[in-house]
Amino acid sequence: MNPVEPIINASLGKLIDPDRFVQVLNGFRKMASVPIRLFDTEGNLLAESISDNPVCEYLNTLRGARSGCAVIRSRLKIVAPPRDRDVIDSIECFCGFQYKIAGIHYQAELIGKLVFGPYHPAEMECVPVEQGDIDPDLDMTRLLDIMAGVPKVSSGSVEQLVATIRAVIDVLLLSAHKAHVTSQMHLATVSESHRELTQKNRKLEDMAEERREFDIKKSNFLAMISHELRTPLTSIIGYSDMLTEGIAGNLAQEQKQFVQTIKAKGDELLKLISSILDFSKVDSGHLTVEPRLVDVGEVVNNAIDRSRENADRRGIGLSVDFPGDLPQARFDAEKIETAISHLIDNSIKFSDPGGVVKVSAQVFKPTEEDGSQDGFGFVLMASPDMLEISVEDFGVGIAQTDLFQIFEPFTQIDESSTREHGGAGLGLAIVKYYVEAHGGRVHVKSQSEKGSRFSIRLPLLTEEA
Amino acid sequence: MQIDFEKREIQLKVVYYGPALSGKTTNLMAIHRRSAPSNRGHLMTLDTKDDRTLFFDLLPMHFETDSGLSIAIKVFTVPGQVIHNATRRLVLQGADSVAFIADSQVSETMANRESFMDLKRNLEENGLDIKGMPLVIQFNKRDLPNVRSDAEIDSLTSKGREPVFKASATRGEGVIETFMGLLRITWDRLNAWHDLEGKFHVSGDRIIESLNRQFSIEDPEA
Repeated sequence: MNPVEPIINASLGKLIDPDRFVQVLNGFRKMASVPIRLFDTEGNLLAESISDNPVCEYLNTLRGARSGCAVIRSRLKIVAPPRDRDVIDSIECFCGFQYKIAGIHYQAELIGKLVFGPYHPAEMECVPVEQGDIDPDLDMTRLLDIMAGVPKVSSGSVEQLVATIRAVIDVLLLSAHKAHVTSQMHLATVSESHRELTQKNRKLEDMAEERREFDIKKSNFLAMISHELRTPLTSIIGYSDMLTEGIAGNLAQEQKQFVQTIKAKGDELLKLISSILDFSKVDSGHLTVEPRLVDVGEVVNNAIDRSRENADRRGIGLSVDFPGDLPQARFDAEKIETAISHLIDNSIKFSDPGGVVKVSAQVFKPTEEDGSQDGFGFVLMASPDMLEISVEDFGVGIAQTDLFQIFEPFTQIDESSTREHGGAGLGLAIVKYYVEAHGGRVHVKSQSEKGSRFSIRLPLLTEEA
Repeated sequence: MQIDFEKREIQLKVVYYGPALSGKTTNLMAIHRRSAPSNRGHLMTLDTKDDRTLFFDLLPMHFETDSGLSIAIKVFTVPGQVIHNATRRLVLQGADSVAFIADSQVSETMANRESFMDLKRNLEENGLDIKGMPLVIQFNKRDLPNVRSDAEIDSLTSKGREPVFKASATRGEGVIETFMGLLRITWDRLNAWHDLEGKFHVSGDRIIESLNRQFSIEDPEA
């Protein structure tokens, strides 16, 4: 679409509201005593002022004069206006009254005509008809009397009137044209934006599709690699276990220690692989939480069981403290169990051999900190009761300056190549994701060289959804 | 917010947010009923056959205050259904404040929480922070059975940050209180940022009083 399509294609009748334009013409009719009519190029009458000329009224009572008037009217309808804007044509009535015909132009195109009259020309010296000329009943005395009552208009005044009305129409056409061009521009812009957006959408869809395919490939790769890594690891761990238990014959003490080390390292590797897989799910936005009513005590015990062997190996005692009447609560047991287990393993890792890690659980009334991460929406985020599961150790602790970064993925406080404690730095990041996905929070209190206490606080929702 | 110093007019956009079927549209309908015809525009609501808001509702309101300051308020609701997140995010753009309409029924506790987390996410994605957003919370449907108790809500309210209102929007109860509470904190926050009271030589208290008087006390449908 050409945004500046010429307005001429639209008809004059559509550009000027004919019903309202009649009022404009009536105004000029009153001021100048000249009736005005507006035609389009097809000769269709669009607007007409009041015409109450008493001469015409009298002549129309006479049959002969009436037919003469009809001829003039049809001539006015079909006559072509002058193509030249500066020219005004004249037509004279048989009674001597005048009509002026002027073209309406826009951008050099003729788009309609104005007809002024009949008016009583000031320049008329005598009436060009005589008694009985037009109709046997024509009464010249009466005609002259009526004519004498009609104000005379000079041709100069009519020309001025033509110029004024043309100016009014020009303004209207310009406004209409501007509105037309503006709307065309808007349409063109919208259409262009639509085209652009469609193109961008297509690109985005293609990219999304590529990304989906890549995600599928990545997931498949991770699943495959995890399987490929886990299968031999399971064998390594399993056979190490059997060797330690003496199924293949008794081992010397030193041999037994070596095999136990192989198994311990295998377990560590298995946990690391599991962490990477868990984090890749979180990272790809595929983390889904499937809450259902579960036994809190059972979930905590399962998590402890998962870490017990690790604790035994490191010579760390696990102390458990929670009331026997812990209620059922609605959360994703697998995720929360994993989160607790990560916290316990973390505490074990940073405890000195012979130390103890305390795991406790309790139901308590919420505090301001439990509302949401930033304390906003407390009344919505907190439930009447909260569940707190804490894991406390008395190991190396964390300096206050390091506390802010411990939940960042791939972050370890000691990132040196000679660090004492291994790991990918994903455990606490996973804990945070899992707990916050439940609308809960992870709190930590720690002191260098004194130990740390991590608490998972979850709203205690006891209703099925 | 848009300010027209010449006309002494402030234009505000407030958004009613909350989970599906919590009564956001019902709140707007009650505000519409309780306001004088000269203060309210047409309530535009797109209803689907199951009475859920398909896109959003918009209630334009206009108040002349005693101080000669005009306040034009566009009140929007968002569709609560999870799938209409893009619409919710779009409606939140440029919001001056948010009324969170929660469902008081015990069974809806989780839905309220999830919707609030959704609000925070969508604010963040619009480059806004919930800390800077004037927010009130309404516990609607107080007239239904199996709702969270007054004592529980009061206890949690005392520990929270936002003003909390209890309402029964179908009966028109608590609706104007929520709306006026929202306007109060919206004014206070915008005044703190833009010094509206200094620039327009007006008092926030008088403006709120003036707006309050313009709501009829009686709900014609109550």
